[in-house]
Amino acid sequence: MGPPVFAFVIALTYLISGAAALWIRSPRLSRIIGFGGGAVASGMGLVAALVRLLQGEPLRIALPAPVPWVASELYVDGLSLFFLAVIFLVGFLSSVYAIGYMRKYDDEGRHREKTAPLLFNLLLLCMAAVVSAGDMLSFLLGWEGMSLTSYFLVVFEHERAESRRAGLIYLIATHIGTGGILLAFLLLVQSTGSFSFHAFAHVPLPDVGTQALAFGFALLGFGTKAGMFPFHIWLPHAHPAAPSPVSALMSGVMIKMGIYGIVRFLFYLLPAPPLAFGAVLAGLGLLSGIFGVLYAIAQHDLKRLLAFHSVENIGIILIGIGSASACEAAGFPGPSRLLLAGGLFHVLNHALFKCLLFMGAGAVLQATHTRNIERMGGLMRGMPLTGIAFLAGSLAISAVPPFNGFASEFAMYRGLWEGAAGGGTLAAILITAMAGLALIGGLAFICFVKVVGTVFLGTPRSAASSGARDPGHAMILPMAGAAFLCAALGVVPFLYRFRDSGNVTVFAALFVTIGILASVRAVSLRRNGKRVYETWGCGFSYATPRMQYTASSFADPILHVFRGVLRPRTKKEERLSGRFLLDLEYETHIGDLFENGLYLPLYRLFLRFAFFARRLHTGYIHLYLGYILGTIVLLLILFR
Amino acid sequence: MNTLTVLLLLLGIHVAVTDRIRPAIRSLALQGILLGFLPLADSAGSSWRAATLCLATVGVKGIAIPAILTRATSRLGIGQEFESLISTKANILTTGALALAAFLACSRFGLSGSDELGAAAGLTLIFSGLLMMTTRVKAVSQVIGFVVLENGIFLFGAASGSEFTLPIELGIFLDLFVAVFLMGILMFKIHRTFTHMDVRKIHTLKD
Amino acid sequence: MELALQIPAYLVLAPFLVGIIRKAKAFLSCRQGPPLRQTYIDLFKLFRRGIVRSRTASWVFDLSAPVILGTSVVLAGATPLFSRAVPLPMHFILYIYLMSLPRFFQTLAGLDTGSAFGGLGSSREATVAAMAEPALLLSLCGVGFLGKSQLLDGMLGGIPPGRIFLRPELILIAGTLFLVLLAENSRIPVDDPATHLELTMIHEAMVLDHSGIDLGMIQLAAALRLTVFSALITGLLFPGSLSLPPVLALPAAALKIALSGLVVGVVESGMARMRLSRIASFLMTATVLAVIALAVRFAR
Repeated sequence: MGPPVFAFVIALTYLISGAAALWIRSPRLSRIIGFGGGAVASGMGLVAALVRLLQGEPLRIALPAPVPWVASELYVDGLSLFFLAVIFLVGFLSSVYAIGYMRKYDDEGRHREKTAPLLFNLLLLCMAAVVSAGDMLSFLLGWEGMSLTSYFLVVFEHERAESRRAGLIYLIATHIGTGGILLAFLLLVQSTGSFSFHAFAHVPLPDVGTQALAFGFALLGFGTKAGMFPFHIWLPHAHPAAPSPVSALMSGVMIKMGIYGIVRFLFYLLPAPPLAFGAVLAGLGLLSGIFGVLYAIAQHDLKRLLAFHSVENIGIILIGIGSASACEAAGFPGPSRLLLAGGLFHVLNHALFKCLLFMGAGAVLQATHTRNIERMGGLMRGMPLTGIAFLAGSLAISAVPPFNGFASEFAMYRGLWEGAAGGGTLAAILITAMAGLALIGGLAFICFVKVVGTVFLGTPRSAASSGARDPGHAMILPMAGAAFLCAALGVVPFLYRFRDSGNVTVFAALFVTIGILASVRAVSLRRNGKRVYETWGCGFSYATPRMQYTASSFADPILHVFRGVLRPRTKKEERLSGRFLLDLEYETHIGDLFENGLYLPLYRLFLRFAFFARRLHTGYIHLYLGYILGTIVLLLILFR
Repeated sequence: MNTLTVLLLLLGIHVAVTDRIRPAIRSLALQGILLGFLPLADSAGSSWRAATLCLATVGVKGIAIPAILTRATSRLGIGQEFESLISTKANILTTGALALAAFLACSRFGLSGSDELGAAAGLTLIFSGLLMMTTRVKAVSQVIGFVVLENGIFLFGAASGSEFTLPIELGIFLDLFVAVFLMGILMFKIHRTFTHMDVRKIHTLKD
Repeated sequence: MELALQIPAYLVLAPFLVGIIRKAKAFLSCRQGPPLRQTYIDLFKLFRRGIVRSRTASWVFDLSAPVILGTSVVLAGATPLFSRAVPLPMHFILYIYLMSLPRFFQTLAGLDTGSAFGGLGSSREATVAAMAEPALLLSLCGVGFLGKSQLLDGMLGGIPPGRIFLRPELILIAGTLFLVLLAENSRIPVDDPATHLELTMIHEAMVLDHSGIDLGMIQLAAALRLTVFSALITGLLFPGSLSLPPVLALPAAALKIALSGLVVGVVESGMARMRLSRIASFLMTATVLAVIALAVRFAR
C-alpha cells in the first residue's frame, strides 16, 4: 500500500467516523465512535509518519486540481513529517481524552455534542493538510478549514456570552492572519509566476525590500496563528472558552501551524534571509516569552493561565528558530542546526506537556466546577493520579531536568553558547537571547509552583474541591501517557545525542542519591517516630483554609517587580466605623496592555470609520445604481 | 591597565545606577583619581608631561570637584537621594543596554586589544553621563553626569590614540573646573530663588 | 582516589563554612560566638530526631527533603574543589537548571502545609531565584568562554593560571557570582538567615514546618549549596589551587572555603537587609555586571 493510498485511508477514517457520530442516536455511542475513530486514524497517521520519517526522502503527490488551470500537489518532507507526527500524537491523546470528557454534554439533550467529533476530526485533517500542502492554494484551503472548524469548536458552548465573544475575537484575528499569509504568498507568486512551493524555493525574490515585505506579512499571518506577541490577544480568550480537549488540541498543535509556516518560510521558501530577519524573530520571541509568562503569573483562571503559557512557549520556540536563522546568516551552520533542532524539539515537547496540562485542567474543572484557582486546594488527596500527571507536566514546562522541557532548552542553550563564542553582533543577540531564556525559565517556575501549590496542595478552599475525585480511565490514561512521554523525552535524547555532556550519568546519579536518602529517611522515621499534627499556627489556634497563602499573594512580589510594564490597577475601599475597620475591599486587576492600549483604540477607530461608511448606505436604489456607474467609469479611466 | 579601565567603567556605572547622592560623589572622586593614574600607566612619552597631567587630573577631578559638590549638597540640604524620572530598575536596564551598545559600536572601529576596551568603556561613560543628565531631577545630578561625561571623553580620547598636547589638556581642565564652579554657584542661586532644585520645573521660566 | 574524596570533603566542609561565617559575624560584633563544632552537633542532633508532620501535607512534603539534599550532593559532585577532575562531570546548563529541581520541591513543600508562613517564604524564594537566574547563567556562560569548555570542571580547569588582577573579566564574573551567592543562599542583604521574625524571612519561613531529619537534611543541603558556590568562586579566582599536589590540595580547599566564609561574614556584618522590592534592582545590577563581563571578554 503506497503512501497516497494510506493517506487517503486515514482521511477517510476521520471523515466517516465523524459523520457517523452525527447519525447515531445514542450520545454515548456517538461519542465513542466519533472520537474513537479519530483516535484510530491519528494512531495510524502517527505510525505512518514515524516510519516515513526514518526512511527519508521527500514525497510529492499530485492532486486533482481544486481550480481548473492550477496544478495542486502534496509535498511531504522531513519538516512536514515531523509536524504530522506531532499533530497525530496530540490528536490521538486528546481524542481518547475527549471520549471521557465530552460525556458531560450527554445529558443536555440538545444534540449539539454530536457535532463535536466531526469538527474535531475535521480540524485534525485540515492541520494535516496544512503541513503536507505543496502549493499555495491547497495550503490556504487547509488553513481556512482549520480556522473555521476551530472557530466552531471555540463557540461550542455558545449559550455563554464569554464563548461568543472569544469566538468573535478569534475569527477576526485569524482572518487578519490569513490576509497576511495571502499577501506574503502573492508577493512570491508575483516574482515566480507559479503557485507551487517548489518554484518559490528556487526563484529568489528580487531585492531585500521585497523579501522584508514578504517576511513581514508572513510574520503577521503566521505570528497571529501562533499567538506571537503582539498578535497574541485572541489566544487567552479562545483557549478558556473551548472544551478542554479542544483547548489541548488548539494549544498543543494548532498554534504550532504558525510555527510551521514561519519555519517553512524562513528556511525553505526564502533563500538566504539576512541576519536581521532572524534577529527580529528572536526579539519577538523574547517579548512573547516574557510577556506571556508575566501575564500568566497574574491569572487566576486556570485555563487562561495555561493559554498565556502557550504565548510564552511559542516565544521560546521563536527564540530558537530566530537565532538559528541569524546563525545561518552569519555563517555558523553548526549552532544554527542545534538551535533549529532545539526549537522544533520544543514544538513537540510543548505539544506534549501543554496537552497534558490542559487535560489535567479539564479534569480539575470537571471535579470542582470552577476555573478559579483561588477556590481550589488540596486536590492531591482526592485526585492523586491527576495530581501526579499535572506535577509532571509542570516540571516539564518549567524546564526542570530530567523532563522534556529541559531537553529542548538544553539544545537551544548549547546552540546559543556555541554561536556566541564567535563574538560580534551575533554574540550580542545570542547572549541577550540566553539571558531572556533564563529569565523566562525562572518566571515559568514561579507560575507553576503557584499553580501546583494552590490547586493540588494545602487545604481545600471550597466544598467542591474537598469532594473532588479522579476522573475515569478514558481521561486518566491519555494523561498518564503524556506524562510518561514527558519524562521519557527528557532522558532519551541524551542517550544518543549530547553524550559528551554526561547528562544521563547525572540523571542516574540523581535518582540513586535521592532514592538512598529517601530510604534513609524512611528507616530513620521508623525508628525515631513520626507524629502527625496540626500545621504550626504561630502559637495561636491552628490555621484555617482562609489563612492559607493565596495564588494572588504568591504572585504579588514578582508582579510588584514588573509593575512598570504590567501596570496593575488596584482598588481599595475601606468602611470604617469610628476607629474600627468594618469592611475592606481590595481588588487588583492586570489587563493585557496590548489589548487595552493598542487593539481597543484601533477597534474604536475602525468603528468610527464604519459609522462614516454607513452614511453612504441611504437605501435609495438609484444611488446604488449611481455607485455602480461611478465605479465602472473610474475603472475604465484607471485601467485602460 | 585593562583592570584600571574596567574599574573606571564600574565606577561610572555605579554613579549612573545608584540613587543616593553621597556614594555617587565618592565614586566620582575615585574615578577622577584613577583617571589621573591612567596616563602614568601607559606613559610612553615624556614622563614629566604624564606627571603634570596626573597631578592636574587628581587635583581637579579627584579632589576639587567632589569637594565642591559635597559642600553644595550639604549646604543646600537637598536630601540623600537623586530623584529620577524613571525607576531604578529601568535605569539599571538602560545603562546595561547602553553599555552593550557602546561595546558593539567600538567593535566596529577596528581598534585592537586594550584600546578597544578603553574606547568602549569611555563611550559607556559618555552614554551613562548623558543618561544621568537626561533622567535625573535634581540639578546636582546634571553636574555629576557632566563630569562623568567628561571623564568618558578623556578615556575615549586616550584609547583611540588621539594625543592632546599638554596645554590643551590643561585648558580642558580649566574649562571643566570653571564649569562646575559656575554650576555650583548657579545651584545656589536656583535654590535661593526657587527653594527647590527640581530641573523639571525650570520650564516655568519660559514666558 | 581523590575523586572519591570530593563529596565527603564537601559534606565535611559545609557545616565548617557555616560555622566560619557565624564566627566571623560574632567576632565583628564583639561576641564570642558558638564554637565551630556547634553546627556539626546541631546537624547530628537533628538527624537523630523523628518528625512532626502537618496533617494537611501530602507526599510532596515527604519527598522534598531527600530531593533537596540529593540534588545538592549531586551538584557538589560536579563542582571542582581540590582538583580539576570531578566525579560527576556536568554541563553548565544542566548544573544551573538542576538547581531548580530542589527549589521546586522546597517551594511546593512550603505551600503544602497550608500555612501562611510557608507560602510567604516560597513566594519570595521563587521570586528571588527567578531574578537571579539570568545573572547566574550569564556568568557561568562567561566562565565557559574563558575556559573554552561547556562542562563545569572543564571550564574551571581551562582557565589559564596567571595573575588574577590583570584579568578584569574574571574579577567581574566572580563579583557577579558572589552577588548571586548572597541571593541564592539567603544571606544578607537579600535574606537574613538568623532572624526569628517569620515575616522578614525567606528561606527560614519556607522551612518552618519541617522538623527532625527533614530539617537536618534541608539545613545540610543549604550549607552544601553555599559551599558549592564558594568553591566555584574561589576556584575562579585561584585557578592554580585546582592543580596542587594531593598533599596540599585538601588543606588548600579548606583554606579557600574558610576565606570565602570570612568574606561572607564581613559582608553580612557590614550591610543591612534590603527591602524586598529592592532585591530585584540588586539582581538586575548583577545581570548587568555579567553582561559587561562578557562584553569585556569579547572586546579583547
